[in-house]
Formats: sequence, C-alpha cells, structure tokens
Amino acid sequence: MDIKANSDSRFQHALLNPELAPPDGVSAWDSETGSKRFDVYRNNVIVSLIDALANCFDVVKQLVGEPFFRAMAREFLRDPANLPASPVLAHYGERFPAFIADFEPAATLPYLSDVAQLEWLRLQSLHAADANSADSKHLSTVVKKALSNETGCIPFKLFFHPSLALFKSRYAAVSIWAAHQGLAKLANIDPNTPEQALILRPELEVETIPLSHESADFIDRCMAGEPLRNPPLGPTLELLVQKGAITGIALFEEE
Amino acid sequence: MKSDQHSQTGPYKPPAGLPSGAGIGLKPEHFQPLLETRPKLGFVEVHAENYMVAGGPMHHYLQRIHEHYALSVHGVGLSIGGSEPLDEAHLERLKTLIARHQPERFSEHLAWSSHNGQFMNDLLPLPYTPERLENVCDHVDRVQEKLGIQMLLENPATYLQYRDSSYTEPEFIAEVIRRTGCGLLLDVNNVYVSAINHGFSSHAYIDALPCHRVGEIHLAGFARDSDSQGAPLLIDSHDAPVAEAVWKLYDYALEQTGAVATLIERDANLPPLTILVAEAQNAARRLQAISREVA
Repeated sequence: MDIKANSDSRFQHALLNPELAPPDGVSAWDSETGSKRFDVYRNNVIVSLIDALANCFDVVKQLVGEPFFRAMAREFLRDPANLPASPVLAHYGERFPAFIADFEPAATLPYLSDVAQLEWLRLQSLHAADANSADSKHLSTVVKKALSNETGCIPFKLFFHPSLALFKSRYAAVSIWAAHQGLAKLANIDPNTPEQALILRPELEVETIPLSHESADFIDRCMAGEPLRNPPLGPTLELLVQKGAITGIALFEEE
Repeated sequence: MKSDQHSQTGPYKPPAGLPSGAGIGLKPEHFQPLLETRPKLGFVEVHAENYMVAGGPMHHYLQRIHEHYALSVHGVGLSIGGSEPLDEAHLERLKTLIARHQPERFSEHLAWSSHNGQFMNDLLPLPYTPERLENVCDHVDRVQEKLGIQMLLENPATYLQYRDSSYTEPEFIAEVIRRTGCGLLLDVNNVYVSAINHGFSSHAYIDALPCHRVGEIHLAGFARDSDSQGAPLLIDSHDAPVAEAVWKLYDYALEQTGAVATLIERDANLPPLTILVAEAQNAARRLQAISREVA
C-alpha cells in the first residue's frame, strides 16, 4: 500500500466531503482535532471555485441572484467530476451550462443554460489565440475572382479568427445577455424567440454580434470547411470581413 | 543516500533577478491605471496560471507592462508539495509562459493543490516526513530542469499540522534548498499567520531558515478568526492591508536577509492602484533603511 499517496488521498477525500470528520493524522498544536481549522481548507476550495464560476457566468448570476447562483454552483461542485481538471481556471466551467439545463430549481428560466453557454463562449474567445485578420481588399479581390469566373463560381474556403465562435439558442439568450450590458431592455424581449450570434475578439474586446438564422447557417457551413459556391449571403460575408473575422481565403481551383 | 545526488549549490542559475525594491501583485483591474500613471515600483508579480491562455488582453497588457517593470511569475498550481509526480502538461504550460515573457523571477509554493486528476484551487499542507522530502526535492529538481532556471520556494501559511511530521517546517525547507539549490521566497505574513495558528515563535522560525538564500519576500494581509477551542486562528486571506505586526516581523526578517525584492500581495477586496503603491512605498522605505545600515 502506498502510504504517501494515501495521506493526500485521505486529506482530499475529507476535504471534498463536508459531512466527514477531518482526516486522521492532522491536528492543531494543542491536540484539538481541528475540525474548524480543517473547515478553512474546505471553505477555501468551495468558495474559490464558486467565485471562479461567478466570474465567468456573471449574467447567469444576475438573472438568478447571488444567493441562488452560489447555491447552484455549490450543488454543481458536489459532483467530483465537476472539479477543475487543470489549474488554468480561464478554461474552467465548460460543464456548467449543461448542469444548469438539468437543474430543477432553475427550470422556470429555460433560457438560463443558453445564457451560460454564451458567457462560456465569450470567455474562451477572450483568451483565444491572437491572429491577424486578412486584408479586406485582398479578400474582396479573391472573392470577385471566384464569383466572376466564366465557367461558374470557383468554390472557395474561408479561414476564421481563432477567437470566432457561433452561438445558437432556441431562446432570446443573446438579447437577454445584451440587456445585462445595458444594450437592450429586458421588458421588450420575448424569451421564446430563437436567436443566434457571432462571438469574436479581433483585438482586445470580445464582440457579440446578433445574426439572422440564415447568416448563422452560412457561417456554420463555412466553419465546417465546406467549399462555398455562389454564396447567397453577400451581407454576411461583408460583415465577416468588416469585423476582421476572416484570416484567410483559399480557392479550390481546378487545373 | 538520495541526498548525495543533490548538489549543495544547485546547477541552475536564477533568471536576471528582481531589483531589491518593492513591487505589487498585478491584477487586470490595474492594467490601464498602471500604464497611464507609471508609478515608481521595483517590479510587478503575476500568478502564472492566469496567463496560461493562448492570447488576448492578458498577454497584451503583461507584455506592455513588462516593458516598464521587472516581472516576477508566481505559480499557484504546480502542486510541488504533493505525493504524486508533477503534472507534465502543466509544467509545459509554465515553460511556454516563461519563454514568452522572460520574467526576472519564478517562484512556487511548498503546498499541494492537485490530486487524482482534480485541482482543488487551494494551497494544502503536507506532512514533513523523509518520504515527502524526497517527493518535494524530486519535484523542485524537475521544475528547475524543465525551465532551466533556479526557482524560489515559498513557505506556506497553514491551519493544521501532521502528527507524523518528523521535520519542523524550517528544517524541511532548509533541506529542500540544500538538496535542490532552489532559493527561498520568504512570505513574512505566512510566518506570522502560522506562528499564531500553531503557537511557535516567528523569530525562531525565521532564524532557522537559510536567510541568505532568500530571493524575494512577500507581505500580505490576513483575516482574524478563532478555532473550535476559541484559540486565535489567522486566515491568509490576502484581502487587507499588511498588519502592523507583520511590518514589524518584516523589519526583523530584513535584518537577517538584507535588502530583498519585496511584494505587496493583494488578491481580494482590491483597492485602487494608488493604495497598493503607497503600501509598496512603505516597504521601499524599510528596504532603503536596511541598505543604509549595511552600507
């Protein structure tokens, strides 16, 4: 039996199960069993991880209120599988939106999980790799060449900025999120309207750009690497170029 | 004897090293004010894990700030004090970060935080046994080998002790330093907090450490509580100004270490930049006084 590993394992087991007594082998200087002292560690773990979730999911927190949010996060953390696997907390919380979707007490807010997903995507976009956007003149030259080919459009493919993500919701999650940034009025929103958005960080700030269903589908196909022929959505393409979302373009030219 | 494998001085050289002035912990809220006002500071320090991301504003601002200030990278997630082997993926992330920003210092904690693939986001205490000493020395060796630089190891703040510890904490730390050649990050607040929590003399603790190996000092604020027996229990909360008792202990530590780069740590309840800079100036005055004494 590996005694060394067991010491940390016993400590960890007690740490994550608040109904248990402190592990054997630890004590305070006066031989007190140290339950309150051990609780300092328990509290640090749980509170710091709840804080990490609250940082990422700020609008979710505003929608349900701080006490509800913290209770929900505490429930989430009761499952050891939901503890961080890595110390890089910028990438912690991926499983929280799905947890919210199944969290009974939040069932009256069916859009809550989608708002959480939007916030998660925005955080990942914030920390995604940097890249230079393609020059818009170069892009329009290549697109024109593709479209004006005599024998029909040359299929082409777009390369996107690493911070780009597409968000789709059955609910008005984009407007609900925007209302909490002072960009829309919550009272004017029908939560049951499906919404889509482009998430992008061309420079230092993440942008959340509402999209039509058609534009979202078009970007979805682009992102899947599908060769584009006669793209029907000039305005969407224009938006992508203008926002700096495209880093490159390739023509599938046949020899 | 395993200890013979570790050289006394260590093969790894520290990076450029910090100037022996006073610095502050760098938080995103202070990126803009720091660049706009450029207060006089010896250095800034960041938590390594907050910058282990591919791109975006964290790297952008850190790079710009490092153009004006020396940089210390302080890890909080390597779990050097654990019984398990180090997480090589995490070590790789650390190497990437250090290659990218070329800090003047790198330090980590004598604590553990990951076990069985779970990260607990706290600095947990370890038993000071011969077996754990081997683990910790192996881990410090691995870090220094991977990064190619000397690291500093920080003394922890603890709330509990292990009954099977056969070394005192300063004995354990001294032995890690002797075997691996790493340096010491002396957290004076941690000494004070642990001394109250465990009823030992903070001066005797500092005296037992190899103070000539101190490459950096940390100062921070703590919170007051009491344990289930009503005994005082100080929490290393980093959410308040440095306490007067800790300033006094800092003066005592400086007599042993000489003037050493000193950080004002604040991780919660963050005040405006000017308040932190004023605290750093308090440390800077004490550093100057020690330099004059020596000269």
